[in-house]
Amino acid sequence: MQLNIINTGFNSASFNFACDEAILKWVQKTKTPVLRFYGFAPTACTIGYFQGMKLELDLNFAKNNNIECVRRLTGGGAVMHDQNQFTYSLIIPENLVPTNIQESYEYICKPIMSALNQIGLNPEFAPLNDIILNGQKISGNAQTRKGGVVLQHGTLLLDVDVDTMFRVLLVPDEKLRDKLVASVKKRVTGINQHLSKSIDFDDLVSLFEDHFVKLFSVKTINKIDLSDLELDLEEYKLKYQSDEWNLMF
Amino acid sequence: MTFKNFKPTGGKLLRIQYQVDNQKVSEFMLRGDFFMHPETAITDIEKFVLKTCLDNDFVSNFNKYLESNQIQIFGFTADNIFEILTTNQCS
Repeated sequence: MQLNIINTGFNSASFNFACDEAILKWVQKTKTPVLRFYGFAPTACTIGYFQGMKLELDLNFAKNNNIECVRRLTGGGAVMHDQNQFTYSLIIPENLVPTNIQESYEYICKPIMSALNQIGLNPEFAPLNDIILNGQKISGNAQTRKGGVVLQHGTLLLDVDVDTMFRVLLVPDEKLRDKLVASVKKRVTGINQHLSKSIDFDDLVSLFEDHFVKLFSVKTINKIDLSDLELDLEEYKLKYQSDEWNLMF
Repeated sequence: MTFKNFKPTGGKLLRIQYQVDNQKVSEFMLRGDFFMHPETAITDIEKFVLKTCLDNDFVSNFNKYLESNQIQIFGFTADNIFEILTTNQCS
């Protein structure tokens, strides 16, 4: 297998999801998988495809605090993305991963778990789409399949700020807010809390590259820049900035 | 119109707005943090529920609809939808 690897660094949510969708179209044409590593700056909130943005996010708070709110192409829940996270997207022809969706989540998460294993952590896969460490969630992943191509993206938490997260995420019942925040603090953790020395974005890029290459039996690695793919990002960026898309539901 | 949050055991949070009169669903909007493949099937599923009677065949009809349209859902089941829509009807 030939694998293109791109590190786009830290960018806005609308840029990141524009990249994902534009690369998805590119892989549909070329049938060549792309693995992208990236982060979010400034802080953003994303919601799953099936969520109502006004139901999930305090849009006034987000606007006043320069937090971009974007609907993803994939399902799942609302996520606050800050600079203490590491994010990947694997965009790959469907025939190169298990047909069964549940199995394919685990298959794509294996290199992540194996990379974390190398740095002394012992994560486990928690179906459908999470990776946990000592029973606490460290990574959420989401997948869509379009035109014979699988796009799976996921976030690995390096450090977690649950209090800030719940200033922008709405809760189904305000009376239960404190309880919910306390429960999330118990259920979610960042990997740096479990390491003797903190790991950063750049360390993770090289670590993850190695494990994806090894576990996917990659024969040819092309480390490329986004510009090499000659994508029309602007069109997609406008989509992810538009109310038509973000407030669709 | 009723709005309900419902989290099936081991499933995802469903946020449903609906209206039921005499076993007929006249309004139905399904939101939540579930997964559905393909994603675009959500509007068809909402339409399907609107034209399907809330009787004992609802669950099997819903499942047949998913199968015949190759729709996969993770995070809730047809039984969950039936339970949400009928529990309210009784209360």
